[in-house]
Amino acid sequence: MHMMRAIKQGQWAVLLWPYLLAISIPLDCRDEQGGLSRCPSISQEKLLDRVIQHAELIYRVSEESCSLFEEMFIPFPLQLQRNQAGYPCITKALPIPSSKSEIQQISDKWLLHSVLMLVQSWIEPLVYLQTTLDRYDGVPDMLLNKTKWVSEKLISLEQGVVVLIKKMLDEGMMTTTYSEQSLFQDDGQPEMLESVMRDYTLLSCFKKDAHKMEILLKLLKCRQNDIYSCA
Amino acid sequence: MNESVDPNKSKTRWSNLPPFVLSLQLNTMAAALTLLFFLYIAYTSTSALESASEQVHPQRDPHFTGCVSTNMETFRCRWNVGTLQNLSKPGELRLFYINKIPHDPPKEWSECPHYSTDRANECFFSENHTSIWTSYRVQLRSRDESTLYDQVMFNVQDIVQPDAPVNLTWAPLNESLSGIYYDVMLKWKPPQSADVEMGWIRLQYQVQYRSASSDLWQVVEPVTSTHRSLYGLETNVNHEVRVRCKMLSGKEFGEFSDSIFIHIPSKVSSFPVAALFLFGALCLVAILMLVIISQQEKLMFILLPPVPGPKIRGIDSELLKKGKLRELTSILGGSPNLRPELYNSDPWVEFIDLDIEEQGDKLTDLDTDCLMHRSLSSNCTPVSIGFRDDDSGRASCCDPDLPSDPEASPFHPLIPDQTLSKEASCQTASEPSSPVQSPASGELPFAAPGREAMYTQVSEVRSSGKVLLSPEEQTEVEKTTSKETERDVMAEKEKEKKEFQLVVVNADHGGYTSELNAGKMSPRLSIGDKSEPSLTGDSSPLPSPSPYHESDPTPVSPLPPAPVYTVVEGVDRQNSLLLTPNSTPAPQLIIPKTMPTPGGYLTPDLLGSITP
Repeated sequence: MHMMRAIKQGQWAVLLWPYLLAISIPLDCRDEQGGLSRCPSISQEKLLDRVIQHAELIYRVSEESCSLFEEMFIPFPLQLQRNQAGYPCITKALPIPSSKSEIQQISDKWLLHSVLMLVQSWIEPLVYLQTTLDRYDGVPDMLLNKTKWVSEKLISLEQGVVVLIKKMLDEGMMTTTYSEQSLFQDDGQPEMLESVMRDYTLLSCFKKDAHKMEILLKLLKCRQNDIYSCA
Repeated sequence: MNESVDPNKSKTRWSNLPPFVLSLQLNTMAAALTLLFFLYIAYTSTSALESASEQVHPQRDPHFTGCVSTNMETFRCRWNVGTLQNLSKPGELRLFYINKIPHDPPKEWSECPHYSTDRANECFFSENHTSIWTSYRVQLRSRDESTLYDQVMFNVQDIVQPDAPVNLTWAPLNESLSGIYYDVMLKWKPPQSADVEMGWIRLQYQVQYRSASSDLWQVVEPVTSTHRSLYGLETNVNHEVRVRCKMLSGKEFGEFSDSIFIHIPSKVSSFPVAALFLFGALCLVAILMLVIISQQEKLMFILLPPVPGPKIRGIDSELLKKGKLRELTSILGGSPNLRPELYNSDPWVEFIDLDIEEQGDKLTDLDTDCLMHRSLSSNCTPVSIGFRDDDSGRASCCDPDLPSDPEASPFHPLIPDQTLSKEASCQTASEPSSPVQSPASGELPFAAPGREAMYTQVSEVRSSGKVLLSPEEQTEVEKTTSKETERDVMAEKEKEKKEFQLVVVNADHGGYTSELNAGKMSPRLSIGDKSEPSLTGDSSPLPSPSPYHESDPTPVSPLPPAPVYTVVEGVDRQNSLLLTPNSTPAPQLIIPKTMPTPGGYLTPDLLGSITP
């Protein structure tokens, strides 16, 4: 069922991606192919820069949200116990290397796909997070706004990465085959502490993954022209 | 016996002590005791504190001081052995870690891959043992792994603290015009360990600077570029600059770089601008002062224009200045001894219309003569001289400075347009008559030379016998009000029932009645003759110059309107009028010298004719 939904999303994205791009990514209409009244394209470099910007912002906001949540809801002794065995990150199954040397050896294609995977796998959990946050008492509005903003930006990031893939790799749109192994079985109303811990884990995992996305994209950018020129 | 007595004595000795001494001794003992007590407490407390402090001194277990990664590729963990001395030996403490990598099978605890050699109590994790975005759990255990001292958990990307930037240099950019401030451009390089080229880490730099004298570091906003400009540094001041960096998405800054010192000496300007400006300003001020002083008068004239002084043509303006009223009045024909109160409030315009050609041609002489000698009146037409009944009855000038000698100063209102001929005729006529003057008057010394006999009008006859001569208001009043004044005068006089020296008549007319009228009224008059001016110009002989002094208290009480004028014989020493006595010796008339104040009512041309 999730796959069906994902496929549907993908189809919509395929059909509407230029339009979505035009809206979500403000274009800098530079005519590469010569005088079109309406510029449907953006240069690859600019697109990559834009995508990286998105990723940076998302990471920063997610970090702030995580700290906010930590301050508000997590008692101090438990703060160190995140990422414990209890609630592993949902994206742990994604085949993304975690050391620099390994990452360095990843190809551009694989980098982009990894990023796309990450982005796509986080869209839904964030929506879920919003609903759960609303349930808590005394949630600051800033936290809610941030999470909302992040989920929106994540969608636009996904679109950007898709376009980038198309540009750089000349590939068509890939339907997401990555199953979303969500922990969100929606077990009704878990008790407060459990729910809080789960959300806390969610936020910290997302923060980590946002950082990962950012690094991967930066690697990709600096790797252009086969020369690392990001001094 | 002594012994037996002694105790008693001793007792008595005790009791014989005065009470205050006893109390004093008790007090001192108490004080000493309390003091001792406090000292004891203090000692015990301090000793207790010492012992307590010794015991409170924490016996800390070995603990981690921090795990830091400088490049997000490797990291190292450091710990502190604590207070237990026996653990300071190497190998006593061991570090174990476990790293949860997502799809790797769960691992066992592994020991530190490399205990640092250059530094004690440090474990270094190389790239092979470092994975980002994974959770690490590091523990500090005793050698036999029986005791767990400390544990930390982290992700490597969270513990990144980059090394300090290297190659910090500066170059001057600008200098201000005054040479006091300047700008510099700072440049540095990222730390070697951080892989910025690949984009693995993005760094953010923070510059701090301070002048050598202050302790406060100025913090500049972080930048991601490897250069930064500093503005507004002072010359001749030593500045210290340092820089540090952190990962763009990280939390902690790394170490500071080595400080560099910036010093730019200020230029010694060969041209002291300040001195030049000062000199210029002083010169300007000096020139201004010179201008002001040299042109002082003109400036004063411009700033404070002079007020035009009083000026009457023909009269020396000196006389018009303050304090010289006497001279002025003498010139203008008034007596300085006049009673000013009679004139000052009266606005009257007087035109002295004396057409005198000769110096000695004094009208008063003529008039007096004419008045005095009736017999000669045929020749002398004093009326013609000055008694023209002209409606433009102008007042006469008074006769200033009458000498104390009795003199006959006839007072007649001056009439304008007096023709000289009449005067002349009078003069000729009067001269022979002058010796025939009444003995009272003698030579009729007139007003002091230079003075002219003035004519005036009797305004009031007081009960005391004084005759008040009116200050001449005839000129304006002449046509209409002169008559009114006459009427008033008449009315006043009618009220008086006492002795009258003069009976004036002719209330209907002004002071100037025609001869005809005079003639009519004369029979009714107690005053027989009057010298009435004939305003109409008829030359008629003067009535007999015998002032009719009515001594009866019931005189012509229906005081018929009598002409105002009377014949004055002379003026005695007291400045009282001597009217020609008829029956009773007329009391001396005291006619105040109602000399008209010339004031400013003289037209210059008339004045010219007046001045001697």
